[in-house]
Parts: sequence; structure tokens; C-alpha cells
Amino acid sequence: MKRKIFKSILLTSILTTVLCSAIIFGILYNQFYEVMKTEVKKEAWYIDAAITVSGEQYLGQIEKEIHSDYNNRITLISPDGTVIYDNYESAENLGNHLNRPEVQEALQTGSGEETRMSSTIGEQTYNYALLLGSEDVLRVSCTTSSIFASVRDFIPFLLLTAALVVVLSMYLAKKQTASIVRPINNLNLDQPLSNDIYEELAPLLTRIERQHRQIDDHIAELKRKQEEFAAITENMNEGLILLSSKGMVLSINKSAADLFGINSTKYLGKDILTIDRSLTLQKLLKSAYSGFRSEETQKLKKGQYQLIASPVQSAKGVDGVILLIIDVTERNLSEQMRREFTANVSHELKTPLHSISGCAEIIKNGLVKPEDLNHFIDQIYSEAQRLITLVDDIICLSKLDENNYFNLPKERIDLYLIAQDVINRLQQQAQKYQVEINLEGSCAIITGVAHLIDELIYNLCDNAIKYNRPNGRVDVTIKKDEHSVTLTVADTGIGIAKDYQDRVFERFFRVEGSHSKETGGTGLGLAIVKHAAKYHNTTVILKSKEDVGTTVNVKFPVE
Amino acid sequence: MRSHFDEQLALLNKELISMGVLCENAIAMAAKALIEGDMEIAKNVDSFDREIEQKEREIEALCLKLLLLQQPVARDLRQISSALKMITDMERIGDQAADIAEIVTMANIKESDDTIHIGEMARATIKMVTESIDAFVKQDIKIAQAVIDYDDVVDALFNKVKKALVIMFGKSGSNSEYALDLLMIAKHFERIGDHAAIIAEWVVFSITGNHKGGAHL
Repeated sequence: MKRKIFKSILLTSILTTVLCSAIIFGILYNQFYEVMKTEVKKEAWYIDAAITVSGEQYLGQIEKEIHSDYNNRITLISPDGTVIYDNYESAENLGNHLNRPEVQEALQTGSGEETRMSSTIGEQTYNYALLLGSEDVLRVSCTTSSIFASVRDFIPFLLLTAALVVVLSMYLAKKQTASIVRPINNLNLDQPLSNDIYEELAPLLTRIERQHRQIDDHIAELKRKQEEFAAITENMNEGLILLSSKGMVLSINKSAADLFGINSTKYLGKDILTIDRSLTLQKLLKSAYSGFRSEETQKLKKGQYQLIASPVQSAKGVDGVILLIIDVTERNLSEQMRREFTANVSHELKTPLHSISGCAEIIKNGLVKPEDLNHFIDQIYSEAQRLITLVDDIICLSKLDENNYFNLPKERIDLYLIAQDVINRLQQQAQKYQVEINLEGSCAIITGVAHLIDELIYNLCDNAIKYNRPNGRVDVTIKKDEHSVTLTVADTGIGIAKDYQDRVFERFFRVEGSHSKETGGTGLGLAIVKHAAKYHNTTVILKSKEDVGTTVNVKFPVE
Repeated sequence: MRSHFDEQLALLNKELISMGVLCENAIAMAAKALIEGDMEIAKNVDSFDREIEQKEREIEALCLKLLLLQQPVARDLRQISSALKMITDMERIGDQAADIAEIVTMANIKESDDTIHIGEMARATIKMVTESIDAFVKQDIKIAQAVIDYDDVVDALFNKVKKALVIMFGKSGSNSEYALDLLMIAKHFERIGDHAAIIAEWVVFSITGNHKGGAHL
């Protein structure tokens, strides 16, 4: 900027100086030349007058008196061109002057003039000739510097001026630049429109203001997106880690940080290896960075986790990797349970079938005496019954599993009535086991599915009767208070050993010794109880002491 | 220029961690092979050892390249020079683990007898190696110091093993070759503990510039 200003100032100054000098010089030179011409003419007329008065010897006198200061050349020429007198040189040495233009002109018109450039260029001579009364011609010549020589003499001054102009321009340029730039440097760019300096800057400032607004909008947008992203990822149950192309952690959500037991902010921008350096993860990331999605199951702090590494690909290659950590502990557990369940079901179904098939085969082969036939038929019947019960239970459970009962509307039901109905149905069985069964309490309305509640109470009471001792008791109590209705089934039976108390609700789990044929049962009863309770948003609390008895509590909330 | 250097330093760091992981795994597998008598695992240790040696050469080349081309000073120089020292000890840990695995395969050893304390010693050594790498990864002086102190525990365990083996020798009908093999294994574990402690010392040096041996930078 400084240079540009300097250049323009310098150019202007030099051009002005040169142009002004040339014009002034030209005008002055012309004026001076005209004055000189008039002076020469005047001198010629004076001398003409003097010669007329004093004769031609006057010329000799002039030479004597004022020769030293005399500048102009005076020549007297006879009409035939011979030089009579010359104050510069002796007349004899000079040739005939008749053919000189000024002399010719004087002889014809009375006066003549001519400007002659001298051979040395640097000078020019002005000649003025006047025809005297004696027919002689008087010529006065004045020699001055030519215009070129004058210009040449003037050049050093011009150069000096130019140098001065350069220095001055530099100084001015510096000053000017500083004074122009100072307010620009002090611009408040945060609020461009509040500045009030050069109006030429207004478009720029407006543009800056516009860009400011755009940038602010962008930042706000980015921030909002980041917050959105953070809000989503932070609340994820799955761990999520984003890695850069170099394996640096770009983002790590709360779940992942908790899983690895680290502070998430401390590890941003660090290598993933600093968080976890297990070989499994390294292998996983290696394949992800070569562009393949891969997954592995690994044991982390709280259980089994599935790690999924997925590459983020672009035309340039892998830009980063997304690492997703999913808790598969429960999934693995339930898968294992399902496998066990299938194995158990097949086994449980097979046993009665074998028995039926065996009996039938013996009968078919005619190996049974007619009097024993009834016994075998009984056997086949009871095993078939057992099979039906088992299949019923399984269907009930699988429906509960698949939440099929969600389709069943919950309705207001009386727990007491259902319990009474169940006990009536079980009365006969209780007599068979020599167990007394009692119901206490009064009408208690809850919201639920009657069919499921029936199953629940039936199974609990059934167990209480089966695993009892002769002359034992089963007390079913229904208590209600403001918020809940509690169903209690207490027996004075054999009880459950402490080790098994948690496991009795598992499918097909049978406490040792309870497999005996006389009790029957499928091993699914308590599992159904548990699911039915769960469906009613409550849990089953079991307290038991071996050889003393078992008490089961189910507390239903009243809405 | 500087950013390139930083990238190279990050790479060095990463390579060191992966070498550390290889060491951790080598020693853990050697110990598992010893305690469970699993020959398949024992055979794998050797491949880890070879990988560790390969890594050592790579890291060495990287360190020398950085020293020559970047002429680092202060903390950077400490980091690179301590890396050069650490890889030597890591490589030794790999060798010792391979040696243990070799003895286990050659002599078909399965040692889960608690009275000899060799399992305890293996666990203590693994803890030292893991924590020395941890100290490096987290640049944590406290963990490093704990590793250095823990070396005494491993040394004490070595003496315990030695005494138990002497008693074993004393019993008539004992297998003396077996006892000698166990002694050698115990010695290897003890050496691994030493190497882990040295690694921890270099970690302290790379952070503070003070080395236990007296080096200052």
C-alpha cells in the first residue's frame, strides 16, 4: 500500500514539475528573446541616429569608449556588400556580406532581420540590418544561448528538484499510509457496522457483517447438532466410541466410559490403546481399518459384551472406525436357558411317551394276562394325562413368554372368590393327601386376568398340598389394606432347602426327591406362578424352612 | 514439520503399547500353560516371542530415525531414549516367557500345587508386567513406583518357591529333575519381574527426567 501511494505521489510530482518547468521555461525564453530583439532593433536605430549626427567616425568612438562591456556586434556594410566596419574583427578579414538575407532585405525594404543557428548549436545569433541614409547598411547582431543549451543548463536544477520530490514523496507516502491505515487497523470487526470511518469501506464492512452472521449461524447449527448427537449417544445403553483414521478417540459415550472404567473427557484425542489394549480389540480394529466390519465377544467388567467395529469408508479409504459395545450377558443367558428348556421339554415329554409305548407294546404282543390288562391301561391313561398336563403347562408358559396375555384385558376380579373356587377344586386332592386346607379373609378386588390368577393360586395350593405331610395344614389368607392385597399360602410341609429356594422358580427344576411319581407334577408350576405374578407387576416372595413349612406371599397392588 | 514429528511420536507410543500387550499376553500364556499343563498354549508363546522381536526391531528403527532426523531435545528426547531402553527389557520378557513355555513343553509340566507357590509367583509377575505397561500407557508415576516396589514381593516369592523345592528335594522318591525345572521357571519369573521394574523406572525417567540409576536429563 505504501509503495503504491509512494509511486502515485512521485509520478504526479515529477510530471507536474517537468510540465510546469517546460511551460514556464518556454514562455520565459520566448519573452526574453522578444525583449532581446527589441533591444537590438533599438540599438540599431540609436546608432543610425548617431551616425546621421556625427558621421561614421562615431562607430570608432563607441569601440574606444565602451568596448569592454559591449556585447553586440556592429557591422557597417557598403551597398556592394563590402564590410566597412566591424567591432569584433578587422573589416579586411571579412568577406562580402551582400548575399546575407538580412542585408538583402534591408537593401530592398529599409530593414531586415534573421535568426541564425550557430554551427556549434549551443548558440544562436539574431541579426538586424538597417539601411542608412548614406545607402550603407548597418547590422547589429546579438548572440545568445540557444533554447537547447538553456535547457541543458537547466537540467541539474531539474534533477535536484526531482531528488527533493522523491524524498518528499517518500515521506508523504509514509505519513499518508499510516494515517489511512490507522483507523482500518482499529476497526472493530466484531461489530463491523458500528465503525464510522471511510465510506469506501462500507461495502466491505457490510460483507464482513454478513459473514459474521453466517459464521454465527453455522456455529450455532454445529453446536446444536453436537448437542443432539451427545444427547442421543450419552443416553444410549450401548457403548459407542468413534475413532479417527489414526486410531484416536474422537468421541466416547457415557456407557462406553463406564464399561472401561474411565473418565471420558480425559481420553479424547488419545489412542484407543490407552483405553483398552486387549488383543481381541486390536484384532478387531485391525480388520476394521482394512475396511471390513467385524465383531467379537469379549468379557468386560460386568459381563459378556459384543464388540462391533465398523469402518467409515470414503473414496480415500478408511476415514475412521465406529466401535459399538453391546451387552450380551442377558442374551447369552437367555439363549442358554432356552437351550436347556428345549432339552428338558424333550426329556420330560419322552419319559411318559416311552412308558405308554412300552405298555402298549406289551399289550400288543399279547404278553399281558387278561387280569393285568386293567393295570396297564391305567398306566397308559395316567401317563397320557401327565403328558396332557405337561403340554398344557408348556403352552401356558410359552404364551406367557411371548406375552400373548397382553391381549387379554385386565378386569376387576375378586381374589377371594377365585381362591375359594380353587380350594373347592382341590378339596378332593387335599383329602387324598390327608391335608386340611383353609381360606381366610374377605372379598378383595384387584385388577388382573382371572385365568392367570386362577393358575397362580392353583399351582401354589397344589404344591402346598403335594409337598405336605399327613395331617398337615394349608392356610390361604387374603389380606387387604389401602394400597395392596396380599395373598399368602402357608403350609406345614417338608419345606425347601435354602440352596434350592432361588431355583424352584426355574423351569423343570425339581427339588431332589420330589421326582417321585406319586406327586406327579411337571416342574413348571412355580415357573408359571412367577410369570403370572410378573404379568401383574408383582413378585413372589418365598420363605421356607426345611421340615417346618413354606410360606409364599404375593402382594397385588390396588389401582 | 513439528506436526509430522508429533505424529511420529504418537506412532512410537502406539507401537510401544502394542509391544507391551504382546509381552503381557506372552507371559500370561506361559503362566497358563504352566498351571494348566496346556501344551497347545505353550507352543503359541514362541510365536508371540518372534512377534515381540520383530516389534523391537521396528521400534528401534523408528527411534533411531527420529533421533537422526528430528534431533529432539528435552521431553521428546527422554521419551525416545527411554523407549529405546524399554524395548530391550520388553524383548527380554518375551524371551523369558518363551523359555518358560519351552521348559513346560519339554518336561511336560503341570504345576498347580499351591504349596510350591509358583502359581502365586506367576500371578505376581503378570501383575507387574501389566502394571508397568499401564504406567507407561497412563504416564502415571504412582503406578510405576508401585511396580518398582512390588519387585520385592516377587523376590520374596522366589525365595519361598526355592525353600518349598528344597523340601521337595528332601522327600524320598521325589522327582529331582522336575524340581530343578520348576526352579528354573521360578528364576525366569523372577527375572521377568526385574525387567518389569526396569521398564517402570524408565517410565518414571521419561516423565520426570530422573532415573533411579542416576541419569538426569
